[in-house]
Amino acid sequence: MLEYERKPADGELALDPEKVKVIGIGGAGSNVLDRIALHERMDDGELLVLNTDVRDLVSSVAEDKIQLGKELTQGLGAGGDPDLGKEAAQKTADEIRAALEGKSLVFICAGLGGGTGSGAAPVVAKIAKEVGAFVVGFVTMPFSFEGRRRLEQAESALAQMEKCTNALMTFDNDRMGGLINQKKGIQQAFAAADHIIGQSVGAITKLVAQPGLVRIGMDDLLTALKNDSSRCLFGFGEASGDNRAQEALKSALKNPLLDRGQMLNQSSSLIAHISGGETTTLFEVEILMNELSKYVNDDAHILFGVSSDKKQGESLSLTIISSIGKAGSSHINEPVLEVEDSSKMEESVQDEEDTETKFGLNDDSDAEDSVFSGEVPEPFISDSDEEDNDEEDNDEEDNDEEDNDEEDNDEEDNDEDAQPHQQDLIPEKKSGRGRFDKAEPTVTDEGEDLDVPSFLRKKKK
Amino acid sequence: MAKAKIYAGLEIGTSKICVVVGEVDTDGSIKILGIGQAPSRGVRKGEIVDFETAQTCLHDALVQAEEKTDVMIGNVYLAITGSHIESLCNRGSIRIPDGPGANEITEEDLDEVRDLARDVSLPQQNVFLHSIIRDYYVDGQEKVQQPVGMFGKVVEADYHIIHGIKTRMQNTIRCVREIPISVDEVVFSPIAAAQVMLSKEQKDRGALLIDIGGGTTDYVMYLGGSVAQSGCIAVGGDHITNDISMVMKVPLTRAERLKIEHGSVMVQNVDQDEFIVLEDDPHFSGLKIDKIMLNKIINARVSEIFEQLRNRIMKDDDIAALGAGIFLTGGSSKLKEIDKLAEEIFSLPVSLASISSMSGATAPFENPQLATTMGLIRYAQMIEANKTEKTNPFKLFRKKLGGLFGDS
Repeated sequence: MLEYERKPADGELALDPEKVKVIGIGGAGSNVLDRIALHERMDDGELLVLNTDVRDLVSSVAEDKIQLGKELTQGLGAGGDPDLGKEAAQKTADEIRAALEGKSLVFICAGLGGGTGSGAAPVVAKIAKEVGAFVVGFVTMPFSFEGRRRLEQAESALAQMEKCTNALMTFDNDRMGGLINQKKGIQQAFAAADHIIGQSVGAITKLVAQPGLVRIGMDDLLTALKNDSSRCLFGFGEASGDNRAQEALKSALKNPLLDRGQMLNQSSSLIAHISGGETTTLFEVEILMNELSKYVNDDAHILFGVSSDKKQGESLSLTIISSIGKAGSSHINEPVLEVEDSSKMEESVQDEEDTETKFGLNDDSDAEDSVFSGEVPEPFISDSDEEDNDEEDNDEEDNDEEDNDEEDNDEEDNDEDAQPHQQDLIPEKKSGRGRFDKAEPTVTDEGEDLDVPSFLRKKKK
Repeated sequence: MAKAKIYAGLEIGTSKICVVVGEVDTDGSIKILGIGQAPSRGVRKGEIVDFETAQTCLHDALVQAEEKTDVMIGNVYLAITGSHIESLCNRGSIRIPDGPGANEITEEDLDEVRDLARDVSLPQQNVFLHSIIRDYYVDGQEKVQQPVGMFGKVVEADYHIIHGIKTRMQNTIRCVREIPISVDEVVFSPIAAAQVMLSKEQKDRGALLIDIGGGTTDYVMYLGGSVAQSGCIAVGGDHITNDISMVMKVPLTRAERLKIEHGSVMVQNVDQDEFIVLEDDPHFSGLKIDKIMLNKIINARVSEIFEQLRNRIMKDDDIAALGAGIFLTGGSSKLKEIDKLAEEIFSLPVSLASISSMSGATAPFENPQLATTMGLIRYAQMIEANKTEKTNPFKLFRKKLGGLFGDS
């Protein structure tokens, strides 16, 4: 998803609100845009809505609207068919190109899975790129209750998006809606998802557009999102009052994507951007960063930025952006290549073993694994989980069935020590443990089964 | 509060269930009235695996205690353990707002600091068991014991947080409640044991208490008077018995007897040809056991426990900082020469802990197996003393609302 050579110089992008365009595509995209327009006080860019459905288009509050495929769909939606959405966008390509001309930073918000979003978003991204803009995509993966078909559409669209955006932030609806509004209606679940994306678009624009005391630019954003096949971590918190530094951090971490800060210890680099009025003190920044560092891995790279904005008055806001993908990006030298690899793998898995893909993504949203957006191939999931604390082992046991296909081979020539994954450390073969055969095994971090007599284990060595 | 109060402590251990009834006098001295004990079944590694069986055993122990002490036990302090219990230390800090008459640290500020320190990311299914204050820091001044009333700009607090999986703790609690007996407070076993096994002076100098029980080895480490580390390794005396049984191919009951009567953790002091003869019975053809072999098995297991423990502790603290050394307790600490082995592994003075600060007829209760339950009584007394100290009705109310785990 990242192509460094096409990254424009930093200064070029900065500051000019005229050159920023936020595009919402399809129903979900325009919802996000509405939210940005209404709640996020975005004055740093123009909003543009693209949709095939003319009714949706009319109700949107964005100033610019383009109807996709006027003749093709006659003002109706794409009916959940990405091909139709794609065609519609291609037919309207000239109009889109005209709207994007001269823009240097383009945000594309779309909900993948439907017709217009999945079909048109990659086309629009391509056009934006051809125009020479830096393209950041914000896409949502469908809720699992939306069914497998939509999920597949979303995945193939995601793979296309990766190729034609500079940075792509993937939000998993299951994760976002499910955690906040588990018991509430679907409407609120969607609204919650929109809200988070709206926040992140607003925050990123602010981040790169605002003059900063310690500035964060596009290059930093790229570093933070460097994990390919990433699941995006985003947290935004704003607070005012005596204890605003802590409060802001608290509410940023409350963001479901961060899982109370737990997810952060898996990321290898993150952006922490503090923005406040003129009353921000160095002390507050210090406290905040100290607190934040507790949640982050020791060797993680913290890209830190501060800016002051008079409009914020007494309040202080904190934006955390990061991504996690596979077991830390340090092993991956060629992100672009890797992405293609993984998407190919994904496709082949889909063809041959439909059921497995389905399980991996449709299962209960509580499990760690399922929150990964679809394009991460299974083996890598376990790798990144290895850094987690032991508590999660239990979760993984439950999910074992999903991964069974890979494990079957291992089990036959069972050698517990040689197996690389955490979940395999608990031996399948529970012999040699005497009275503890039926008890919960006690296994060390190194994978030694303490229930087997130490005497026998020592002799083996 | 002029009356003496009676408390009951309960531990559902892997090898036995134990109830201690104690009376706390107005001057704070503790008198043990009696104990009830029953061998425990249906418990593995400190956690209940067979609900009904465990409940029957629990019932036996309670009845015994009630008969001996003539006290109706209506509520207990409950000790729990299990491999899921973990601990960590975290620091919270707040800034005291400027303003007229401000910069003075109040109780509310400390509450806020505590909330911040407790705001750590626990795994989703986990809940707080204890949060124990270690030290306060006021504007960089270290080790402030009582900051209320002091002036300061920044207050920081180090908390030791013990947490575990909610449902697994609830299982033990449920087992007791269904008797029915209400649970006043849930206490992590080694924390309770330390209340009576370690003196204040030992805690100040730095001490590690290792409670080697039947199913688990629990530990708590004190540095500078406060808890620095605590936790549980799910390996205990049961494992030793199991090891002997498996390696020697003898039944578990025989293995248990071998361990208690003949076993030692040290291999050196055994003569070359020392044998133990196991007589045959209808289900078991007799066997001659090589004593060196027996001790080697025990030695392997116990050294491993100590090594595991040492590695865990060395992750965060230097074990050499323990001025008072290491104290062993729990049923398995009755193994012969276990202190010598611990000394070898930790290179620190090791002693078998004995109950301090109890009055009354403690002599019959001088048994390391009872350390935790005795400690519960002391713990109960401390909690109670704290409660009456803070007479603020609002706080008490909140504490009650806070539920079982919320406050401690």
